[in-house]
Amino acid sequence: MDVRFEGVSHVYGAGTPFARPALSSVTVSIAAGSVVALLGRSGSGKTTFAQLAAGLERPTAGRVIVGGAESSAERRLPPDVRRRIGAVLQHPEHQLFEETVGRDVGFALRRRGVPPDEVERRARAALFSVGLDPEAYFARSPFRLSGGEKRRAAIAGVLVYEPELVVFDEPTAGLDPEARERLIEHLEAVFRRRRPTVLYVTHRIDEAIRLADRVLLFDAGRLAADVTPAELLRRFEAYRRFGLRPSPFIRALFAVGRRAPDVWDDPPRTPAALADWLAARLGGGRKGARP
Amino acid sequence: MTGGTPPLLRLEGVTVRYRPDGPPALAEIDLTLRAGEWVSVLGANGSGKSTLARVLAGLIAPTAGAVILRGAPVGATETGLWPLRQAVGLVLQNPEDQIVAATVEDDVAFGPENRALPPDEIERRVTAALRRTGLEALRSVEPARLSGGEKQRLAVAGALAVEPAALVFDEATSMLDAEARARLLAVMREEQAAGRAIVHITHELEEAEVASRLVVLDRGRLRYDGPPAPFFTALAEGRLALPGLLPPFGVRLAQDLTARGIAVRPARFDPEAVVEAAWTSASKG
Repeated sequence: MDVRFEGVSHVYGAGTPFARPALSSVTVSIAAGSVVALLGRSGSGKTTFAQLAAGLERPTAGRVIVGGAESSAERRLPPDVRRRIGAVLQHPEHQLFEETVGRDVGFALRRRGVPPDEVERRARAALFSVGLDPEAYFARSPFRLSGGEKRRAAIAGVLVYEPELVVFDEPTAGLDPEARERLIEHLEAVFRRRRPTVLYVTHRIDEAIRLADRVLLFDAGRLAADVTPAELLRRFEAYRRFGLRPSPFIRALFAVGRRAPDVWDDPPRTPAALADWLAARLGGGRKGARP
Repeated sequence: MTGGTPPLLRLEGVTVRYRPDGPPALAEIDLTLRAGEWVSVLGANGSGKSTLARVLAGLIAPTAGAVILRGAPVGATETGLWPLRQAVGLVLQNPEDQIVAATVEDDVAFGPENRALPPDEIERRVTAALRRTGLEALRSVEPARLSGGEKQRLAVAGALAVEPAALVFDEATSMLDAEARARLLAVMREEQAAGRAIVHITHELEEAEVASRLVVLDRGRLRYDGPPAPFFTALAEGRLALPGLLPPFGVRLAQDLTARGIAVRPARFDPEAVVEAAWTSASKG
């Protein structure tokens, strides 16, 4: 599902003394099937952008066109388009409420009148896609799961209806390091397999670089940069003024770049790829270096 | 610990059960917290970190065991817990849970007002706390209109304004962007330098790595209490397996390189040192 922003502005509390402009005249087109990371400081407009795209908010000015339908100050996205959009908001596990994980994941499909067998089949497939074995999890109470499992079950409840556009707002926030790593692995696989359009809001630059094929960088409500992850890495210093800070992974990349500037030609996007690159470059293994 | 002043806070055999028949959220925890020290707490989701924060700050009383504040046991009643709540400031994981007032400045003033401080002192503290958390410009805004990160900073400002003897941060950096996170860590260091004890509960391995002391919880039990480096080395070498935790990035990179035939043994595990060690190792090999 493609998304187009045409001169979009959004003001929270417009017309009240508390009015806060969140997004100012943003124009951008996103092709169907792209994974777009939204970066920027807190309050830079990235979450507002995602909410506008998902039809959760309407523009104060300009228009958002999603799958051919329009959302503006006067017009809401029509329900048939909104049904094709999924939103994983912050702490989605707070919305788990059914007695079993299976019922919870199937909730949206049941509400859409999908026949019970198909609901179950698709709920199982959705659980599997986020790495929760349906045999083990389908009949369990969602409240007995770990934090990371709850998060993945809640995400399965969005993926289950195969949205063509999915908006994620900080999906790994609050997860322990292992749970975070596991969730990203599964999201990566889901994005690759199903090719939904993805808008992925994050503070974690490593996640943006690993998952996205395009990065939108926001600053004070404006679209400050629209780049590929490789460009973001190459010009990282220039983007510091928008609040980006190097993660340990990026610091390692810089350290490699000082030794071997050609790393920037096609920079590795994951820690494992960085280790592979270094091994290839430094001839580990082939020279029989002792471990 | 013979003679002298007693430690700021001691937990002795602290167990917390939320349900009588359920597993303990915390089991037999012994822990000492001294003025001016920085303790980072790591653990998987559900390991008992937030329960520990609540016990330290006197939000809940333990089911068994004792909490001892400056040598005096703390009672389990609301009145008994009061001195603990005065002494320990808490920033919760979900800032919504502790926002009480209609504007940002009123929310920060809430703690000092409860302590019946004179108005000019309250004003001084509120202004200082808002400045240090970068919220001055949002002083008269309604908290509901703040972003997640701003709400988290507001909760921090509220805790700072009380000027407690200890500050407990329960994943208080989780919703912050990189800049705000660095700024909060700097504020925490200033608070430590001012003699306050800092308890920093986090999932950020790189933040825990710089602590002078690391406490690790696993399913309610204390699994480690000591300097961070030996813990992470044991984790990296597989001598210790704890659910939910990974070694910090530099340690993992060194492991990944070693697995690929580049033996890397840096003196430190910051990313730059590991990369340099890889080059040195390759040129020797």
